[in-house]
Amino acid sequence: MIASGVVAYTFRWSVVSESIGEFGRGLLVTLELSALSLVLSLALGLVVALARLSPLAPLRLVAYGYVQIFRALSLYIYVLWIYFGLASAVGVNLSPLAAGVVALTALNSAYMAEIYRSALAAVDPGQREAALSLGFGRVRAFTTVTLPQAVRIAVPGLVNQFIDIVKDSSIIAIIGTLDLMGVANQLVSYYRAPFELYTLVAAFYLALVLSISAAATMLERRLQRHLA
Amino acid sequence: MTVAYTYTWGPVLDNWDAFARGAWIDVWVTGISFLLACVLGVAIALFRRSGLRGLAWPAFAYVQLVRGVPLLVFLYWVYFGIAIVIGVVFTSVQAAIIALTLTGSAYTAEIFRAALGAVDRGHVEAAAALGFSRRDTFRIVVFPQAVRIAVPPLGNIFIGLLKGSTLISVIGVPDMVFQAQQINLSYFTPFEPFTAVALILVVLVAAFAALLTGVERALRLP
Amino acid sequence: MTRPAARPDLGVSGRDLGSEILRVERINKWFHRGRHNEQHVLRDVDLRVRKGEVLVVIGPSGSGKSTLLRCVNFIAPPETGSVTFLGETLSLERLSRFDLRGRLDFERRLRHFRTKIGMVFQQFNLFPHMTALENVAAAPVHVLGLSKEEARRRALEELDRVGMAAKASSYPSQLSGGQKQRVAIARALVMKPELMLFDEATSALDPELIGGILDEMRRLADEGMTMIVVTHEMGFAREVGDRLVFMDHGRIVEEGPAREVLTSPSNPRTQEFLRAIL
Repeated sequence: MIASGVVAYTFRWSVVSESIGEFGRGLLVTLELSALSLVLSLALGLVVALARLSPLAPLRLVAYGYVQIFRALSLYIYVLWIYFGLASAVGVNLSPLAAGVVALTALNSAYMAEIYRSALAAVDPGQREAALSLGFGRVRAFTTVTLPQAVRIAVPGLVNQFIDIVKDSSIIAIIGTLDLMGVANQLVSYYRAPFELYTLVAAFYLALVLSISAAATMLERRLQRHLA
Repeated sequence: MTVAYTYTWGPVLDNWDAFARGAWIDVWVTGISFLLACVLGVAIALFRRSGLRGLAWPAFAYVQLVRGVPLLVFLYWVYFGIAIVIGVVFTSVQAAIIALTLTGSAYTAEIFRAALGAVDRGHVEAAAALGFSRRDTFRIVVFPQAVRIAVPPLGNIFIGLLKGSTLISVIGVPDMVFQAQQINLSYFTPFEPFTAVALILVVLVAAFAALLTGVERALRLP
Repeated sequence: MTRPAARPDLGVSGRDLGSEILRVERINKWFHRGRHNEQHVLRDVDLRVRKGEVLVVIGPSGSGKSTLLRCVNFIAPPETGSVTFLGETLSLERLSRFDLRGRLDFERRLRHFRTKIGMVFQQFNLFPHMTALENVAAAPVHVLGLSKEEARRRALEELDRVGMAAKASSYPSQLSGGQKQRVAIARALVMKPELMLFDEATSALDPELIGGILDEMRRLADEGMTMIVVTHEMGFAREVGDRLVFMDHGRIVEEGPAREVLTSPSNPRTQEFLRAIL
C-alpha cells in the first residue's frame, strides 16, 4: 500500500460508471452461486434434520457429528481445504464455482438442519396426534400436517441463512470466481481506485440483502395469512 | 493430479509453533474486536431506544447498512479503501480489528436492544419509586439483567467473529491460515496444513463454547 | 382486633389524624395510543390525605385508580395539575420540553420526593438478580448513600419486621408470592417513608396468602403510617380504611368515611359496583 500522506484524496467516481457492466456480470455469478447453494442446502438440511430425529441411533450420531463439525468450521478454511487440499489429496479437481457451492452447501445445511429441527419441535404435538387419530399414517401425518407448519416457523431463520449465504459467497472470490467480490478485486488492481470500487461492491451486497429481506417479509405475510 | 497422494505431515508438525502463534493472533484479534463491538453495540442500542428520532434513526440505518455488507468487503474497504482516502496507513492488524468490530457491532447492537427491551418495565418503576436516578436505574437494575439475557447470543457472535477472523490473512495478518498458506507455498502440500487449521478452529470453537456454558452457569440466578 | 367506634373527625381506626400531608390538585392524564387515539384516564382529580390517614381507592378496572396512585409519585406523570407532598409542590404543567435546566431541577426534586413515598406493586417488581437482602439494601446504598454495612443492618431489621429475616439470602425466584410481597414491603419501608402507596398489593397472590399481606398492611396502619391503598378487598377497606374514594371513568365519583360509603353508598354507580362485587 502506498502511503498517501497528507495529500487530499481526489475521488474518481467515473470508475464506477465505467465498470458497471463488469459488476452486472459479477452479480449474475453471485446469484448463481447463492441460489444453487440455497436450494441444495435447503434439501440437505432437511435430510440432516430428519436423520437427527430418526429412531436409528447411528444415523442420529452421524447427523449430530455433521452439524457440529460444519458449524464449527469457517467457510474460508473449508473452501481452501476443498479447493486446494482435497484436490491434491484425492485428485478431485473442482472448478472454483463448484468448490464454492459444495462448501456453502455443507456449512449452511448444518445450520439449516438446526433451524428445521427446532421448528419441527415447535409444532404442537397435538397436531400429529389429531392426524394419527384420524387414521393418517405416520409419514402422511408428517408430510401433510407437521412439516407444513414447521416450514412456516422455520422461514425467518432460513431467510437469515440465505442472507448469510449471499454475503459469505464473497469469500469464494479468493479462489478465483468472478462474482461481485472477484470482479471488484480485479477492477481495483486495474483502476487503482479501491475506495470507490469497494464502496460500490458493498452497495451491491447491501441492495441484494435488503431485497431478500423485503421479499422475505412479503413471503412471511403470505404464509401467515390464514393463521391467527 | 491422478498420482496417489503421499501424506507429508512433517512440515505441519515442524511448524507447530507458527500455527500456535497464528492461532493466538486470531484469538486476540477476535477478543479485542468483540469487546469493542460490545461497547459500540450498547451505545447503538441505547441510541435506538432513546426515543429521540435524531439518534434512533441513524442507529437503525447503521445496523441495516453494516449487516448488509460481507466481512470480506469490509476488510478490503478498510485496509485499501479508507486508508487511501483519509491518508492513514493502517497496519493489517488494525484494519482487521476495525472490520471485525464494524461487523460485530451491528449484531451486538441488536442483541443488546432486544435484551434491554426484555427487562420488565415494572423493575424500572420500582427503582424510580425508590428514588433511583435514571443512571442508577440503568446501572444497577436494568443493565445487570440485560447482560444475563444477552450472554448466550453474544457468545454466538464471539464464535462467529472467531470464524470470521480466519479471513484476515487476505490483508496480510500472519494468522494461522496465513501460516498454512506459507507451508503450502513452500512444500506444495495443501491438504495437511489446511486440515491442521480446520482442526485448530474446531478445537477453539469447542473450547469457547465450553467456556460460554461456564459463564452462563456462573451468571444463572437460582 | 377491637376498635373504638368511628368518629367523623377521626379515622374509623380511632387514629388521630394530623395535618394535611398530601394534596393532589386537578390532575389530568391521557394515554396515547397512536396519533389519533387518546384516552383521557384521569379527569380533574383532586385528593387530600392527612397524616396517619388510610385512604382506600376502589372502582372497576379501567376506572383510573391505579393510574391515580402512580401519578402521586410521578411513575406515570400527570400532564396537568400538581402534587404537593410535605410542602413540596411538583407539576409538569409549566415545564417546557426544551427547558433542560428546569427538567434537571425537576428530576432532582422528584427523586427526593420519591424517597419519602414508598410504593408496593401488584407484581412485586423485586429485582430478580439480587437477593432479598440486596433488594432491600439497594436504595439505602444507591439513593441515600449509606455505607454497605449500615444499609444491610437496616435492611435486615426491616426484613425481620415482616418476618422474612430467615430468607434474607434467597433470590426472588425462590420465594412464594406472599414472601415476595413481604420483601417488597420491607424494601419500601427501609426508606422510612412518610406515605405508602399500595397498588393492588394482594391481587396477584394465591387466596391463602392474601390474609398475611393484609395483616402486614393493617399493622402498618396501626403504627400510624399514612397510606393510600388501591384494593379489591372490601373487608380490609371497611376495617382499616379511614376514608374511601370510589372512582369511575377517570373521576372520583364518591368519597367519604370508608364504612359509611361501603354500607350506604349514595351514588348509583357506587351502589351498582358494590352490588356486583359483594
